[in-house]
Amino acid sequence: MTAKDHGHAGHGMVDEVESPAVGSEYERERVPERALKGPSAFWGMYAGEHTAGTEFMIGPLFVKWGADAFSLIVGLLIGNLLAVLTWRYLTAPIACSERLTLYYKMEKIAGRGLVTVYNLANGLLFCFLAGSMITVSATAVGPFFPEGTIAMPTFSSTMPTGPAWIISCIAIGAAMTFVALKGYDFVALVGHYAAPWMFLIFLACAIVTLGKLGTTDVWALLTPPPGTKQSISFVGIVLFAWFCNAAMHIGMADLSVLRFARKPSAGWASAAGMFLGHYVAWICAALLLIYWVKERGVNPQEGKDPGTMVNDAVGWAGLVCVIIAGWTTANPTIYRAGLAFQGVLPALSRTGATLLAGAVCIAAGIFPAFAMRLLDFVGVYGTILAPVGGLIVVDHFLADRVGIERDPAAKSGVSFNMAVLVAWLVPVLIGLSMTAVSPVNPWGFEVPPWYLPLPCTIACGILYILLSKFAGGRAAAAA
Amino acid sequence: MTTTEKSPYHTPAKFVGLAALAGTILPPVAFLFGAMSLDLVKGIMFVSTILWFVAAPLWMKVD
Repeated sequence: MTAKDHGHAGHGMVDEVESPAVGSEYERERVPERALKGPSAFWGMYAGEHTAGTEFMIGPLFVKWGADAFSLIVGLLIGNLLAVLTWRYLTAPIACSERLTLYYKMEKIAGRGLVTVYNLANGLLFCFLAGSMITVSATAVGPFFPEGTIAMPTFSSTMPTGPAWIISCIAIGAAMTFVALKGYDFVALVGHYAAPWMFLIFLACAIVTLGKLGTTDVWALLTPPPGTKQSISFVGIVLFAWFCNAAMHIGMADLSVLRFARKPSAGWASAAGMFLGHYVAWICAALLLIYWVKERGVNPQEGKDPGTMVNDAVGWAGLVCVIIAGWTTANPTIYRAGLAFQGVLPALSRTGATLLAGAVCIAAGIFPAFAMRLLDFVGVYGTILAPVGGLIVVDHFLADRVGIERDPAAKSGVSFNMAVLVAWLVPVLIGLSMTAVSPVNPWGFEVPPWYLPLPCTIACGILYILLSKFAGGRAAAAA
Repeated sequence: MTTTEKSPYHTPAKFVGLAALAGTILPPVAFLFGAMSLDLVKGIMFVSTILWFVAAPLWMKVD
């Protein structure tokens, strides 16, 4: 994922990775014709960005949840295809038409004050995401020391496993923060160079695992033993694959990247990330845990840390991969979180903001709960951030047809468009209250968080239309 | 993957880079078919990793 996995980071367009949030080129203007890039720039970027350290967690988490072979092989295929189609036919056409960053487009619709709120939410979620990457990277430290020196977390770990674990996370997080302070062009370059090698390491892990298990029947291996409780359905897998990057496609965060595309067809480049990182890499990572369950008697509900599994399969090359995969994606994430915090607290220096973000990330990384509940976390991440995409879709495609103003905040000069705030928060709060992560659930049933980004985005768009029409009617009546 | 054209190291780096990628994926395949020990696989993969990160910056261009 990622985020890309989830995290939107680590890609190879160095001029662009400077920051989609603030400070990159053409931040407050349309991207000019001369700066447009052909499709090749995007294929490598998406491939690198979506093959991250957290992929080592997601595959095994599917095994924990008893996903069957059909769900993993067919469900992931369908879900990733839907994600690619969303990028191609929704995000890329808007990006190529508007040629603005998400933040500037949001500012035109919602007002500068409300974008600051969005930045804060984004910054905090970035920190937790980078924290889970620190957790994954820290598991690669253990195998360098005698067994038992660092107690590794399992799927059920929520608290730090001991002083050695805390020191590992602080050391890795501090190194990432230090590099983020220096700017991350270098890390973006490492991520770019690492991408093809990293993908092969994932593949190598799976091939070695098949060799150890003495079979090439992947379907049979992915089939859980009879009696396994299936906690995630076929539909759940499809929706997870589709929406684990909801903030990027329907949430429109990738406007900041795809605005440089010459044509909307550049949206097809997301296929490199989805099918290499979120299909092949997830299945490869799942096979690693399946080996430990079948041959080493590991309880799938407890799992095994990625560092130990990868070291056992392919040795030090795998450990380097776990560290680099976490580092190249966490580092820009820390940097962007710092920029987001700076947007909220303008008096804070860039250094101070990045240090603050780094400290929050390290604190999140020390607690394995974020990494071990990554599926829930990326669902929550998408549910909170994706609905703003509904506003942009309405503004871009529907505003004229339904009779509401386009870019209302830019035209009226308001800094806090209340229609946007209500349309965003109401579906998100209702949606999150239905999930297991909510402290209060008045509904009597639970919905997995990755079911929510699409309904919340649609609800946000509809509410925005209704509230804008209501506000427009009141303004006309007052006039 | 795009390539630089002017670097004098481009061609040798491309050769080393491709060899490093082969050294990352072919040993596991050999292990799968019982033609190589796992310790040797791990050793070749680690050396290939080092070679890849030496060769890639001289070969690959960031667009």
